[in-house]
Amino acid sequence: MTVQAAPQPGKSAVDSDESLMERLRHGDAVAGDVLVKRYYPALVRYLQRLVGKEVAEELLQQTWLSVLDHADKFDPQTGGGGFKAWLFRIATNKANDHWRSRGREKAAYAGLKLVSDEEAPHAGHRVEGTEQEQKLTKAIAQLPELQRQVLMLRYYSDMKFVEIAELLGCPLNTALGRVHKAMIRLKELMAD
Amino acid sequence: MLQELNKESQLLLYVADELSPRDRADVDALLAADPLFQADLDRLEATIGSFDAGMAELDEMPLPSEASAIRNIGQLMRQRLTEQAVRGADAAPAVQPRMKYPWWAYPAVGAAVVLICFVSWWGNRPDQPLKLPSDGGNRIAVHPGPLPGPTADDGSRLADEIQRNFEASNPTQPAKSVASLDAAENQIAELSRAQTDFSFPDGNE
Repeated sequence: MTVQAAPQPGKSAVDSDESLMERLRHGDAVAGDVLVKRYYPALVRYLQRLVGKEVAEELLQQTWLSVLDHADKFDPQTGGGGFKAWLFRIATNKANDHWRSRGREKAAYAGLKLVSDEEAPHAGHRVEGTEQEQKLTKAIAQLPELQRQVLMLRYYSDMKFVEIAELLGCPLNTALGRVHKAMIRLKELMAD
Repeated sequence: MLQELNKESQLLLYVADELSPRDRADVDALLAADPLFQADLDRLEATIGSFDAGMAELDEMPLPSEASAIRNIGQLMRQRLTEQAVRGADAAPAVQPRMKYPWWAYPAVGAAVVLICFVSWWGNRPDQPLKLPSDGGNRIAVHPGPLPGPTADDGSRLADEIQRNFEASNPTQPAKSVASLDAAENQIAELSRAQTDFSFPDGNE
């Protein structure tokens, strides 16, 4: 699977993620702007695929505010993946929180069908795309949450499978199994 | 690591080029030996290829209002940084007021108070028998037991000796003294009898 790397314009040793985080920790808002801009495309698309466009913007804001609130806890030496893995972990946790809160509401409604319809982009807000793109968007929305999560994490974060498994707190074989099932399921949905 | 993974996981890591050189060589050997395994790999690569192509097309659609979204997040972060700075200033310890007395006076007064309390307690505590620790043959009996030095018997013997010495130096004096003492005792006895025999004439007391 070819992975789309998160765009990181102008990244150098001087303004590495870790150095920018250090500056942000000391109250440098400009360093925060650079980080937000650097990760905006990958992070917002990741969240859009997980929770839909409407909620993604809100979760994105919550993610960056959490980055600020927990800046003291960020340690580039621990874990793999550095700042990017830490950022995507926070975003993933926000998505999980959203799913949990939505799960309570979901009990009042019926079935996966309704949920997947809800996940699909609304007609009024739909950005122009081919029928195939719309089909893929809907197919991704129909994947089980855990499969969708690991597949999108792999695609947008450019992290290794080992790092993803560590981020998700599951065995490597489990993470890989979810990716494989997600790919097979997507293929089936696209063939329908 | 390869043995812990199932076939699909092995192929995924193989395609992603995340296997160690040794594991990769093992998979290569399996692929060469097993045409079905090679077919699985081909199918997986085709699936991943179509998925990547579809996702790339999806991501070609521009993100709505990217600039304003980034600006909004930037404003939120500045606001949060300001709040954190205010909270940090509130949480900072206040400047301590200047002390009235030199710094060493406070521990000195404390130590003096403790000393006074201890002496007061020591002086008012009830008397306790002194208990010395047992140390084998060097034990000293303090209580109870005879004190060293002259005893009551020694005193009696001393008094008798003084009396004898006195009588030896004044041979007539003791007899005179004893005679006058006997006379006095007789008078006292008579007076006592007279008091005992006294009674009222009408028989009333």
